[in-house]
Amino acid sequence: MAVRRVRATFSKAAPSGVGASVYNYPYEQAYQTSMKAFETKINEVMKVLSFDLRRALTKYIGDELIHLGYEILQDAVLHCPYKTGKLRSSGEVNLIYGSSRGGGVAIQAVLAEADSSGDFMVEKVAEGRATDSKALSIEIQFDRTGEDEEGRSLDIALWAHEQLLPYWGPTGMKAKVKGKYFARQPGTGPKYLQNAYNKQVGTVDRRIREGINRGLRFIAGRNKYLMEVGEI
Amino acid sequence: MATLLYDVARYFTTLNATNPIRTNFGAAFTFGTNVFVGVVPATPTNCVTILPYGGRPPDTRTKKAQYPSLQIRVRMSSYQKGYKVTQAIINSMHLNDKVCASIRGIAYAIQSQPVFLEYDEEEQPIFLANMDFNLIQYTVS
Repeated sequence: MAVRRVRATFSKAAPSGVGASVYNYPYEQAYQTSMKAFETKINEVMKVLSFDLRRALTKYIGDELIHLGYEILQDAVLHCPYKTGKLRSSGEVNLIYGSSRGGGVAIQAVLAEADSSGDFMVEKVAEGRATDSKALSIEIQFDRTGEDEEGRSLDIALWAHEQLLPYWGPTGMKAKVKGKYFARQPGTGPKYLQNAYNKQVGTVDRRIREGINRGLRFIAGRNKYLMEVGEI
Repeated sequence: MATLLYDVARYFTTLNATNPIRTNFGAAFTFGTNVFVGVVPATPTNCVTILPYGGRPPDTRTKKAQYPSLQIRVRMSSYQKGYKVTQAIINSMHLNDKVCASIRGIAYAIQSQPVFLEYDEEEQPIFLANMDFNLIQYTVS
């Protein structure tokens, strides 16, 4: 019986020379096959996990941010000067996705009642985009314009926010500085939005941490479930 | 707060002649003449008023830092002059640790450019510059 001599190598490098082949020990071959399968599986799992993790973190952090916005707006409305109530009812909270390179409003919320009863009318403009986004921010704003006594356009929301001097006349509704833009009822006044924000500024870190924790808990619970049903 | 208010007023009155705030304003600053604290008198037209408002809460952990805010209100005879003076105030005071002479602290402008408030009864434009302060080892008095 002729014995054919072959060149065996255990190197991963390509064999050189005519008739050269690669032979591996059976256990190594099996090991490599199983490792490759395991690696592929791990990569798939990691891909799913990182995708889910990012989405979960963004969702829960966004959730915390918009609730922070609700609380600031509710507080701001209580201290917002009013006469007709149009300035108060113009307050809104926007959850913004994306950065300066592109983005938009994901969720928009306005107070259902101008007196800050606590109910919000929420419109989910593009909630899905927010969960896919890498950057989130909130915007809390009042938007009310009108005219001054000369008929010029006046940003009433800004004016009421920045006018530190008293404009409540001694006889009541008569403005002391100029015009009758607002009555300054007890408890209302300038910097109504900035003061409301300043009250909450110390809680921002805690809220974001809470959002991260909720996202991680969600992922941990979900993957436990997936493992139990054999999806992973 | 009085100390901070008067420190800022002193900052204006001690500006040298080449400072952009003073050159754009067109005159030297004198306390009680064209620099005021808390009140806006009917005259003169061109004047600067310093008004305090809340600011962020004091540091609750070390209790050694406070973050008061001030509004600097500029009234000038023309819109262009008012804008220039207020912009010069923002540029000069932002990140300036010499604004408060008797306190360790630094000033931050909240807005990058002046906020136009309104024309008053005499048609004089009013501009605002809002400033935040980080004051260290200081209790507002």
